Amino acid sequence: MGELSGTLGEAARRLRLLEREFGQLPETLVYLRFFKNKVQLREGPTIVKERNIYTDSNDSFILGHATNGVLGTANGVGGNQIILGDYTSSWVTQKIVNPDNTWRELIRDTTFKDASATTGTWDTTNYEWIFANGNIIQTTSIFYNNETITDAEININEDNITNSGNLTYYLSANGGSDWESATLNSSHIFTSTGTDLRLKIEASSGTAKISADDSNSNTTAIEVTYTTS
Amino acid sequence: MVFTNDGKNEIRNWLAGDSVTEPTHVACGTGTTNPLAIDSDMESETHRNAIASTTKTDKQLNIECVFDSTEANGNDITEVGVVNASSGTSGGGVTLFSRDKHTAITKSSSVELQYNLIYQIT
Repeated sequence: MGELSGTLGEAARRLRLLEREFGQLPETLVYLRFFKNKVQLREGPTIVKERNIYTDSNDSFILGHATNGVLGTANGVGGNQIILGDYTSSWVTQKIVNPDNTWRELIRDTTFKDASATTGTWDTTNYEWIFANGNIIQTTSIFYNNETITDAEININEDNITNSGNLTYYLSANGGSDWESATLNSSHIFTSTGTDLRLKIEASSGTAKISADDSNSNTTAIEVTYTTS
Repeated sequence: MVFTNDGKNEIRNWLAGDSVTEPTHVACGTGTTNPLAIDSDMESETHRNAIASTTKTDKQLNIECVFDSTEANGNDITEVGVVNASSGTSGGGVTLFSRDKHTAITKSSSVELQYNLIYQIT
């Protein structure tokens, strides 16, 4: 900084000399302006999924086998339809971890949308959650790492909420088995603890909207911060 | 997940017009220490694979990588990182862009692992 100040000082001195030399009015001011913009690179969630590959008898075709030797009409001893080759299960989420114990949603995709429970509009074009009266926005797991969640806090910039009074917020620490009412921007201590954190927002008394971007397209994430024991 | 100082400096270099190598691989390992911005390498790397796919949305990047049934077996995987070379460490000029840890998943030949890593720019 000292070097920069010295350079600027020298530049200003030379400008004054130039003004004097070329006869400019002394009240002519020369401004040097430096602009600084802030770009934040944030680490989002890390999701780890697992799937099993059954290479033994489970659901692979075995010639002559009483169960796994019948193609197309029976399930193998693994419980799924018998196939030729190895049976591969579906991907199952095993872990979700977040930087600083804070899940951040920008509504850029539907990674965390619980499609079976969400009735509101998860708008990835305008980066908004849009609620008609009675609509629900609900997430799948937003933290899941074999660690007990004791408390959590939903943080949303109130400037990004339209009709805030129409929304009711809920958190679940046990995968949605128990939903507990929470207050926006206030810590909630769970009565029913667990290892699977989820968020639900309901428009219980009218329409509402939550945006992840403001009118100038500055992004403000929807956040849930949590503590584990 | 923590975006490292080395990763940030790679972005700085790109802004300055330098030639930089983007993230190309995901490493998994057995390290258990909390990730820090000053991390330059994985704590205990066991395997490294090329990034399978990237998905760009507005101000967001999703990176996906799979470790199949033949890879990283016999390890309790707890650590993941994003790097810009198929092998090597910071000593050899490789940049670790981010690092994260999670509770253990035992990797065996009957299990495949898929990592989805999300970077957000706000």
